[in-house]
Amino acid sequence: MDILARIQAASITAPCLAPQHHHKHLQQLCFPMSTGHHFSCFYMHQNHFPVAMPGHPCRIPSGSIRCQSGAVEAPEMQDVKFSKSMLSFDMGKDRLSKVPASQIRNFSIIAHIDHGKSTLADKLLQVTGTVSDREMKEQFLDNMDLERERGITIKLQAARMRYVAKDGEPYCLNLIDTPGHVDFSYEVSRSLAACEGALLVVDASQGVEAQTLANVYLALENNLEIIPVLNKIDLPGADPERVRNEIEEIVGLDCSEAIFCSAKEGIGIQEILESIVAKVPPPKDTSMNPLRALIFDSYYDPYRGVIVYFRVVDGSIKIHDKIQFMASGKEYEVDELGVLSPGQMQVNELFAGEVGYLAASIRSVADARVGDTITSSANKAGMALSGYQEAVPMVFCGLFPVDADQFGELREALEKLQLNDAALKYEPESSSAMGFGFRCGFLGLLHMEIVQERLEREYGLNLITTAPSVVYRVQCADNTVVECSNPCELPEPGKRVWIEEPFVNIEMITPKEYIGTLMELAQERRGEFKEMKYITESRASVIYILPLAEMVGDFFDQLKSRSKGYASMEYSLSGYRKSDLVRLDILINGEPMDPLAAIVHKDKAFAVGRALTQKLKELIPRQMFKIPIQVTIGTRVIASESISAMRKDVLAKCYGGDISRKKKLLKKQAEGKKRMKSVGRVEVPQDAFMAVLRLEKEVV
Amino acid sequence: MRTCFIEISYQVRTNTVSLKYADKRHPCWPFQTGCPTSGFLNLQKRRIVAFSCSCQRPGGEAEKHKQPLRLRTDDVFPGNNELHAQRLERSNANVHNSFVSAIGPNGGRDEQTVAGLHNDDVHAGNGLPTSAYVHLPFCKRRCFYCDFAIVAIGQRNDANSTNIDSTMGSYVTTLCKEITSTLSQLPQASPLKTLFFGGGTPSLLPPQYLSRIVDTLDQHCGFQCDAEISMEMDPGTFDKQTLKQFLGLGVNRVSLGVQSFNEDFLKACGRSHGLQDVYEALDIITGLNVSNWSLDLISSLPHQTLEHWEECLREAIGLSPAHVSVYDLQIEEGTKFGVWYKPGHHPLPDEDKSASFYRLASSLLREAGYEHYEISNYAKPGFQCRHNMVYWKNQPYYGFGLGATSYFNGKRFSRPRKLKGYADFVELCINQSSDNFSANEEYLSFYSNTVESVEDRVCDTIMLSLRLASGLNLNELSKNFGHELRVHICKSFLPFINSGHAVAVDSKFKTVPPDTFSTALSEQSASKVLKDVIFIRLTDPDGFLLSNEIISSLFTDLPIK
Repeated sequence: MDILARIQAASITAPCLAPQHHHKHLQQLCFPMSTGHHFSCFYMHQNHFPVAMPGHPCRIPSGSIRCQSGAVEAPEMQDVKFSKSMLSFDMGKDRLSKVPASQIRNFSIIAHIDHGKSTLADKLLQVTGTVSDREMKEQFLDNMDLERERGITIKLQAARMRYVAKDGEPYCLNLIDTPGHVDFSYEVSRSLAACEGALLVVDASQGVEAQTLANVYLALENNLEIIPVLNKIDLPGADPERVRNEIEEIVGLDCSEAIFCSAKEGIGIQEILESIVAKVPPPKDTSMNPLRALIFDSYYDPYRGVIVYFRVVDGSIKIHDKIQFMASGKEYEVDELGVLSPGQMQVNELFAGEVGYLAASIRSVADARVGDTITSSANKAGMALSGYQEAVPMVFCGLFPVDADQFGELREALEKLQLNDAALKYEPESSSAMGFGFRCGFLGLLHMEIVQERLEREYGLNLITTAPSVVYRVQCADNTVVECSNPCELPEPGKRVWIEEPFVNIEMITPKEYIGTLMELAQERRGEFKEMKYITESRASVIYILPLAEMVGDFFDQLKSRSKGYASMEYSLSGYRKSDLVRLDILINGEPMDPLAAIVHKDKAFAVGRALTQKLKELIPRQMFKIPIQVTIGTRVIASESISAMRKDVLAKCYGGDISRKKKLLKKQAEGKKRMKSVGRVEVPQDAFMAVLRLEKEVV
Repeated sequence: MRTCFIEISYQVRTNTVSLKYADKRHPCWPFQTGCPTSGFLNLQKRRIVAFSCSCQRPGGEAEKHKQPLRLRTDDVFPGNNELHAQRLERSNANVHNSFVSAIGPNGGRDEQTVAGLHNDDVHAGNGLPTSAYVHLPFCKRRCFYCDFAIVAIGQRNDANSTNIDSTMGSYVTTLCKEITSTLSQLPQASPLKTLFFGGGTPSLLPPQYLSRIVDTLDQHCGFQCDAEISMEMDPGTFDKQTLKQFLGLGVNRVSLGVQSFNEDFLKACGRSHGLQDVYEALDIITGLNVSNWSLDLISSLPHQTLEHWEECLREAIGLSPAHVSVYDLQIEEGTKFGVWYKPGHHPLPDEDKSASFYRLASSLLREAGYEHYEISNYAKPGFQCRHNMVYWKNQPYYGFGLGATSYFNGKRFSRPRKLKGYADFVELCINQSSDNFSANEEYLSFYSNTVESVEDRVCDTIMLSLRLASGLNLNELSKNFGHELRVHICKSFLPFINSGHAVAVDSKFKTVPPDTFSTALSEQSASKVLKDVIFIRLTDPDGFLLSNEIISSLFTDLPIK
């Protein structure tokens, strides 16, 4: 189903999504976007959330759980500031209290990046007293450094809140946070599947963006009640009315009851909470059925094994229960059971409709993957919950340590990351120029970037990454099909009949003044125009079919820079197609540089070849002999340059016997040589590799 | 009759004179006597005296040797030009080239190399330096390319003369304190073989100040009879009278900072002198019959062309200095040139052009009879700078003064580069030595940061010896660091030997053909052929020109972590 079809489907189905339809079990649509995307990573063993029990922050003895429902007044907005400290404590301590399933609301927040999802989540936690002011850390749900820096949410977390609504009843609200990036759409879909409703947060000045749409469709597929929220209404540029119309027009949602809010200023938070209680349907009380719980996140804790976040769909789960993961087939005993609020708080039992976590000394996240179903070993459910998918890497690149001695460390680091990230795939790779490293598979570009950054930041590794590549399918002359993600492994021209490459549907939403430049960008990247339509007078959606390989480079950066940051995009895999592709080899002094080999479209080969030779000529220092640089397709040289021999490299003067100074210079030079990679007799500096790889990301 | 040298050192503190043969291999060794030379000492006030000995006996008969020594009175002190003439004579006779002088035809056992320029191990026994560098930082102004530790004092005139004198005076006082504090700490300082006054512009220092420095050194360690005392001098900073006084103080080698024979280039470099000053300075030097003088030139100056450079070289050769240093301009950060110019970019010559300058200097000077004995130094036979050879041969030396570096007790140390910092440093030295007199070690550990590691010593040996035409002595290498390293380094050299940038030399001073060398390395029986390869040296000019590249490759290949 392409984007257009999805939009149409959405507009058709939207009116049917009245609350009364919610319990109808609709078969889940298999959404093309979510094909095999799973990303379940990022351990969070450093939970910074202090909870009531001093000295034992994450564990509350079961005896202390209160079972009566406290009658805490819902705070009025104007009172929030005054009552914060008092109410926070009162409400916070009751949030483990059991409520009937009819008073549970499971919801998530969906939004385009930067539309204020995390701020809103923070505010909800604060207003409900789940987190006290003292504990409040900005953007509570994003607690990984990397996320904070980028201001994006990659990892899921959940928070159980207690809210006494205007009707006087206490409700248990479970907020399930979702990652905001398309690389993790499988994960998004699983966390949405754990909810009955979703807050659709749209920036009141920016309006609907590509990710808004993608996420809304995911929510609709999961049959969620969607509550539109227009955020940032306090900003001078806010135009909530216009944006409301935009949502109605584009998404097809009824926005008559859309809530105007400013999470930052605390405006509209009360209305949101009330609306959740009123509109999001409660989970079905199926406590009597055999246990089925949906895993929506898991992470590896070095002390307790994998921590699994789940939503109990049917039945109940108790501490010390023997459980089984239906997809992986692994059995474990529950060591620890609890809820997230947002710190981990232990409980003895969880029932259908509730959201919680468990630890069972599970060795790897691969045993308890997102989307898998937990059931009871003693009383197995007949059928697993639907929607589980294996992770399929889409983007590949080679990772090599700059210092060959770090190979062992790199392997260990990847092993550790994989414990926590079932989507990360890697296998050893070696090349004459780069030495030993790994070929790694990722869900998408962001995933790749994050893994690289974590390897460098958390494990102190210094890495060279090759240009990202996709999986090509090669039809060979002997009638076999070879899947190939490494340009070096592409079968020889004589042995292949054709090459297929993956294509994506890409939807760009942009202010109209940038339509031209974005179409130009897509054309340059071998895009095939599909459709363009105005979603409002000033904004349009442009849809292209584009080779994935063209997108894994700097496409997104280009889109942002060419539209001055205003355009947004979303993509989904559309399948494989034949393309006229060739492999470019780079030869330095006659020696092929494997890691720099690239698969490019025939029409681009000459331009790319020229650019590459020129760059290398610029960056490889003169050596003691002349060095030819060539780019070839098979045996045919399509571009060549040469670096003339070094003429002079001598330090003439020795300053009054100051040998240390001279030695320092020579040692520095020697150090530089160590960092160079030898290609045959030629020493190629790391920079040259980096630059060529960057260039390949840009031009290939 | 054989000529040999005896050194006399006079210890003022103990009022004794010790006398010994400079050559341990001489049959008269060891020979101690009372004070046969006191007359000279009193007469000349200088303690550097040369003798000759009429001993004709072969070795092994030391006990029977009773013949008295006969002094050659005209050899009294090294300021005397006759002495230089003699030294030159000996050098011509015995030192044909660096190889001969370094190991001698009989494997380094030849007594004839007593006065040889490379036989510097007389005092190697106690490991103490016999060389000293003294930094005299004062300059009229800072040249545009210069990033040395200097103190610009401006042109001397009536108004500032007193100030200048007091600045210099207090510097010299501090300097002498440093010398005293350093040398009095040592059990027994060896007499100096070479002393080098570098700068700055040492010739700006009034002779009475220089005299204080020489006296201080004299008092604490003394000089050997044929000590080389060099002084850097800039044109326009001294007159005949001054130089005469310098020579009277023992200076016997002058290094004249000419840099260029082109008025425009001198100006463009920010030199404090013009071309006229250069010729006047040369007149003074030749007028006083200083035969051992050197001339400094800089190549690769901004806007310099090959024609300019050739002119400059021919002019230099025409003046017939004993020694020529040719420095390739280095653009240093923090200098005016560093701000104005980018290496390799106009108006500086590009890499190819400045390589051709180097080649031209090498060919013209060698044609004119100069030996290209070190990457940037050329000398007529016998006039190599013995002080600088100490650096290249990785031997210890003292360093005194602002920013000076020293190397002894296996430690390299750089002094502070600012006057205040240097004064504080000397103060600290003195306090440390007086507070705890016996804490020699502690004092020394303050004095220099770390003892050089084996890796550092290997690196030093490689980088320093490859600057010399004689190259790396493999026998010494394996003696000091083991046979394995020798083989390893030979292997590292292979590509450079194959490419003609380096040459292997056997014990008969014959070049080992690259093929033989590489075959030997690849075979199991490598040791025999390798044993025969005594030296590896860089070729002139190809190897010299790429010496950094080659040396850093060798560093990279070193098996030591």
